[in-house]
Amino acid sequence: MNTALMLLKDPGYWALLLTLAAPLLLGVIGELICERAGVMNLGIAGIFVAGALAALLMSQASANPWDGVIVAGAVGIGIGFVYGLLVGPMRLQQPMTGIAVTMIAIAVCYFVVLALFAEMARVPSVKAVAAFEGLAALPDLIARIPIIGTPLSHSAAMTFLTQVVARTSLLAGLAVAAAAVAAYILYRTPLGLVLRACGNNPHAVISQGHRLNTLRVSTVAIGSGLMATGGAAMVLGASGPFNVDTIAGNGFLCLALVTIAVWRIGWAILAVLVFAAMQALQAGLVQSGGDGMAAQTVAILPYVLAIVGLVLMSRNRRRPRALPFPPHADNFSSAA
Amino acid sequence: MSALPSRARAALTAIAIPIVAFAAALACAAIALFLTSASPLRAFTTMALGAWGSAGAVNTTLIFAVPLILTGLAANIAFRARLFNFGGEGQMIAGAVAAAAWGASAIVTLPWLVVPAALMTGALAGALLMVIPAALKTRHGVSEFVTTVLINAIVASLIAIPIIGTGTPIAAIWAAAQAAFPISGLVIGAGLTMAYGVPLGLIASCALFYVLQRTLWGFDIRAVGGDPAAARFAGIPYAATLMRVALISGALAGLGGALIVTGFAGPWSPATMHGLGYAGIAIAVLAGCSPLAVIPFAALAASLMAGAAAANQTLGTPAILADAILALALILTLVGRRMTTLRWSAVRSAEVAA
Repeated sequence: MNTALMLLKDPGYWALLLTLAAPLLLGVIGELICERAGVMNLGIAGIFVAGALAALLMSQASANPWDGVIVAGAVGIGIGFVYGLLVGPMRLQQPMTGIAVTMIAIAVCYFVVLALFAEMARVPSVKAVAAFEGLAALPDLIARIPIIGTPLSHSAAMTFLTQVVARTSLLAGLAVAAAAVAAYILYRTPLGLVLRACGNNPHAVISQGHRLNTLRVSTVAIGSGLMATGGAAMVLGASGPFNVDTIAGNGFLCLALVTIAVWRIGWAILAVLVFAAMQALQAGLVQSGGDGMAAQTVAILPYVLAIVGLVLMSRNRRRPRALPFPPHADNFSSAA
Repeated sequence: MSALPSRARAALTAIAIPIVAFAAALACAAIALFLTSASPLRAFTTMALGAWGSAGAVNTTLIFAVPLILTGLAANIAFRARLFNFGGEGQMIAGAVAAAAWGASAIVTLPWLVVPAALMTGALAGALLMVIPAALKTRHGVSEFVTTVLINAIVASLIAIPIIGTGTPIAAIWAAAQAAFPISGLVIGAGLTMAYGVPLGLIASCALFYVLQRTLWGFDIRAVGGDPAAARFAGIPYAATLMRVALISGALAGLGGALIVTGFAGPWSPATMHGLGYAGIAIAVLAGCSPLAVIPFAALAASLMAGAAAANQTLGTPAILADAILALALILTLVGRRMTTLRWSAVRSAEVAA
């Protein structure tokens, strides 16, 4: 308990929290736009792993970590396109196809890594994306504001904030930007309205003359691109051993988080912050070396809380009605 | 082909699609092997010999077949009721740990009593893991595919930590347990030893087929899987049937895990059991309607895994090739089935459409 409280005062903890939130947020936004369009993408764990693998491979080929992010996004768009085709026009069952995609992606990842490095333990570490170091100059800028500038820039809060942000990976900024763009498109543009309608009332979309399958496939592709970027963020952000199980577990966690966030982007950010706080707490406990038991208990806490959250939020009326499961009376799965 | 009655046509299609899918998956694997500069022909011959080439190879295949048959049956019966049990992995590991704990605790030492008791404990552990997802589904409408995979992740995390209070890691219990179980198998002759898990799996498969086709419980299960609304209208207790199926499914997967620990010598650990649960899901979908069809597909998957392990030892190709081929065959089978049901209005049930 003492360790936990001490962690809260450490700006490194908060920086780690934001860095760990980046992959979760990207994954949640990706899955959220898929589900809002009426497609439940169970391949999210596999796409996370594929994105992570792409980032890993690109890190061997190029010195710039952002190349890994871009390639991961492209890989995700490709996988999402195929999955969208299987589930949209071909109308395969979504959970089965999703799990099949996950299985293939994880198997391919293991295959490539083992073929290249012969052992999981020998996977080289990846150069991480830089942090917001440029913002270290922010206090000087604020000091120039006429009256309140100087005391504000010298306050303890400002120092703390600067320290936190200076150590946060730029990927957190990417995730927040993606969330903002997605929120704008989804809630404030006609395209977003049509996409939300795909998830709530596909008949209306068809009757307006829009192409339901085209919309769904493209949304799933873009969402999967975001998810793969999340997977890349796991490899490029916090440096740690390349663990396929952890990456896949985070993918499934994002799936639950979408339901917990009641399919709204604002709540998604909050939920991601809470879960990232737990993950950062676990990392901090492991690092401070103290109690192995506490660290492992905190490790399963996100999954337990995810299940609890699912129970509370599953029957919410905001659930996109065209999502095929669980089946209920006004389910539009015949139009899906 | 059009001269055949439609049932024969449907049966032929049902057999042909997975065969074509596996052939295509093997072709993709050959391409992958070629790209990683291994000779595909050599790899495949090593795999074939490693699966069926010698008595030792056949033993290995049978060893892999035991958990695969049981996890396949677990997923199969769950899918018949439209209960998407993706938690086979966690339930299998839980069953294995429970059986190992039973053996290591040495409460019962009579050899002919220890093994059945361990098996039952393993089945119970697996069934318990399915209680929460099933209850959440029936009472709160929570989709079980998210809860079951989350429970998988929880089990995987719990395996890593030492037992609360004692500080012994689970691996130590495993090792102690293997000393307690009399490892035995039915010696068929010519060096072949069949672990008793194989006949147990065959009996389970036939029993499930009988239950599904000829008993009232089985009818309830098939009705709930075919159309939940119609089943409710007909008065079939939806929640009770789902819970029954969930418990049976979890118990089968747990039994698979327990059979691994009690039946085989050798360094079994959660790491070596990795992926068997998800392979079971693939087998179940490939098998489609009938629990009897799980047997050949489990045998096929077991051959792939044994062959891949042999290829790993001899040639160094990653053993995960088996999982990759299986998953690719799964997707191609799903696509193939969809493409054929679009043309032929054959029997449409939830499993065929899957």
